[in-house]
Amino acid sequence: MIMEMPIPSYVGESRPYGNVGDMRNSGWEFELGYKFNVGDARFDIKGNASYLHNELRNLGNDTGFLNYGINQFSGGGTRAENGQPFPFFYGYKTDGIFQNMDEVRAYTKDGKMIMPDATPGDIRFVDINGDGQITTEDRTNIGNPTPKWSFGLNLNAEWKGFDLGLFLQGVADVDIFDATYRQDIASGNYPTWVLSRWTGEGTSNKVPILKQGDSKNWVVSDLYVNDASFCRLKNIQIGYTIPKSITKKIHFDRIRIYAMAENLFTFTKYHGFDPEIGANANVSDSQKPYTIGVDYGTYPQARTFTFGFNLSL
Amino acid sequence: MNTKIFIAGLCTAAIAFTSCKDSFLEVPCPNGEPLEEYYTTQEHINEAVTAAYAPLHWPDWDGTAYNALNIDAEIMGDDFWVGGSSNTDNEHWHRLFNFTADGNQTLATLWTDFYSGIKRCNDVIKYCEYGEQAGVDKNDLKSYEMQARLLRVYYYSILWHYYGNVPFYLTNLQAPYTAPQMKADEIYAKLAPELEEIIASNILPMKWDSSNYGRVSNAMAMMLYAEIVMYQNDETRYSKALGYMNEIINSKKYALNPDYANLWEESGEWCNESIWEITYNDDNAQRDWGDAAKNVGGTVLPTLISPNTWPGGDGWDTGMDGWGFLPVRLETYDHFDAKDVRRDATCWDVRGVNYTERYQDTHIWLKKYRPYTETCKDCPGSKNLNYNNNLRIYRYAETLLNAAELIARGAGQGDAKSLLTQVRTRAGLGAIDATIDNIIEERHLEFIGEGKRYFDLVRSGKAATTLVPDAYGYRTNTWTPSKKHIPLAQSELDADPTLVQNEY
Repeated sequence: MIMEMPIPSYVGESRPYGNVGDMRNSGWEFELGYKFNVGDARFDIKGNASYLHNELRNLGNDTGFLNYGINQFSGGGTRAENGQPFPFFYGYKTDGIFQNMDEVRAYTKDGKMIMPDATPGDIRFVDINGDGQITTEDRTNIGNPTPKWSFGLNLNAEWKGFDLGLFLQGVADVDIFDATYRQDIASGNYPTWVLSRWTGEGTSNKVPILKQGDSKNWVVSDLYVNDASFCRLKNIQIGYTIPKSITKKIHFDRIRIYAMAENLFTFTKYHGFDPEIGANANVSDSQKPYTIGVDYGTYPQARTFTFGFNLSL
Repeated sequence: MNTKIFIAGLCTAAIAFTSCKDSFLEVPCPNGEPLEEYYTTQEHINEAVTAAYAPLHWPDWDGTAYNALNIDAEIMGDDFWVGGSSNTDNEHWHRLFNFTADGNQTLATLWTDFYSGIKRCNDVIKYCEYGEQAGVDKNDLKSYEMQARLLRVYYYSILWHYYGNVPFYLTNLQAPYTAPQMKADEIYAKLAPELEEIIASNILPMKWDSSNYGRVSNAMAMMLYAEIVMYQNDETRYSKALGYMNEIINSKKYALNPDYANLWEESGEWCNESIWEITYNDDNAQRDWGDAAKNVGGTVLPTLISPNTWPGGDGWDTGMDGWGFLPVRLETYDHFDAKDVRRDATCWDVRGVNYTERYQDTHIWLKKYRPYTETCKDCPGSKNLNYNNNLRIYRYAETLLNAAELIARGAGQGDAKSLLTQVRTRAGLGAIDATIDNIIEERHLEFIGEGKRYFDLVRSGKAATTLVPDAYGYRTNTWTPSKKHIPLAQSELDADPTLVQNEY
């Protein structure tokens, strides 16, 4: 595994590349195809699916882990760690919102308040290590930007000069980190999900209170992690070939007209522009692996419509 | 991986079955010339020296964060607010202002910038060895090596001022790329004798000729020495520091600029008063967003510290970019005697001008580094990142005040009052007694916005009583001695788990 060596920045030099570690990708691939005719119609269906288990075996440094930040976010980011998928989102787990002071006081460990400074509307962070307080030690794996499942479906059909081509593609069991809400600039753009923030008892049990200068709630947590599974109609094409008996008369061997659409439909629960973002294209190659699945407002893929015809002499 | 092993296997087989000469194994270096062969001319080593100076101009904007050296210090003091669009805009400054910084909100990239400088200085010293073997002029090499050693002390001294306990190394690190973290006192114990040695060698001139302004000089080394000795309150070195100040004064190569306001104008750069500045230039300036932040060019400082949506006028055109950081406190303006010429050279008073106020806006801005259309006009690209202003680090006025204070602290003989009076006369004020308190107060007025006040408060023991909650509810915490050393960045603690975080 050739990657940047995880050295401290006080070395004074950009991180050198080295054959630093091992990674294992294991899984299964399935493919199934079937051709059949129904009357005059001919069909050709092909589907594939793959299951991937990705594991960083050895990062190659002493600690066995390395943290990378997410721009404009504090308290976590993406992380590499032995025995975990590479990369994964590393931050705090949330457990709803404190609705009132009673709930703050009731959140205790051995009789001591776990978050004594919290006020109503703040996030209840999970005390992962059980030491009775919320510290950086409570950060954990909160999401995996590498899809476990990828699948595709190809369908071709022909009937009396008409032809249809269709390509579906998707992934499942994958997460995205929505980094588009920049909490450090009060006058920045807000995504609409901020509207569902906590504004009083019982108003929200997910999105915390919105106030200026709040660095407690808006840290890297599962609040920003979203299911990025999607299924997309990547390509669909419908064509019609004019019968030879007609085309011969005007001295053409073949005339076909068609209509095509790319990215016509995307089925996803993700609220951002596009669930299929990959790595950030605007950072250097060495930084790209750490931006996988971090959505800084990636420009979405265009929906394209094409109409045309093929002529053969 | 398997493919590689397979190919390696084939190659082994190929070599095993064909005979070959030794020369077959000597392949040219695919990355170009090896360092030992490149750094064998005066010209090439000078390139490395220039590269060692380069990180000096990164902190104001290094592509990741804004850490202008004077702002970093002033926001912890008592003359300015932080400003910006809100108290989360450049949150690290707001947190340092209120003494609530942590590993995630600290001067993370100042550390990275200046360790790059240290690494490059170490490189120069190494390359000078290569040059010596190749017969490069010995005097040139001595000068390069000494500049690198002095610059390295400057870089370490900044890290030492802010973080205190930092990793220390004088030859560049090899695998596993870690260096021992030293206590602040241990760092000081390394830096002070190194400066004594550099000064005693007398290799660097007291003042460079004008074509070499920007290089570190012996006078700069002496100023740096006085600064760290006084910050450490190391009485054993006071007399030596006073001796150095007297050397600068007696050299007659520096003098007060009779016009305090001119110090901050373009024509005042590298005037007789200037001992050392970090140079920025708008001519063909190339600094920009992202990686281009480290290109040659001007500074973003005037943009950072000027009013937002300026309507135009007063030498700065409408539409120019201002971000509203570092508003001057009203109390600071009022603190000046009305006769003090420094007030109107320090404060850009725009009360009465309408523009969109930003957070903590007082309508008074730091005039010393305020923007003018004129001072960024020669930049062909992002003008707001490329103002011409050099950052003034050491001035002759400080030499005089250092000497006065060292005398007042019992370092040796001398007329402290006349030294202090020189500075006050230029400001349009009369003589006062040269008590330590009076001198600290004079430094306050003289150096507002130059990044000295906070450290003066710390070393003189006044921080805990001066840096207290304000009447506006901005600063709610009081400085304590543990605030002297700011937190190390969490990312560094993660990368080197042997680093110990400062008790902040």
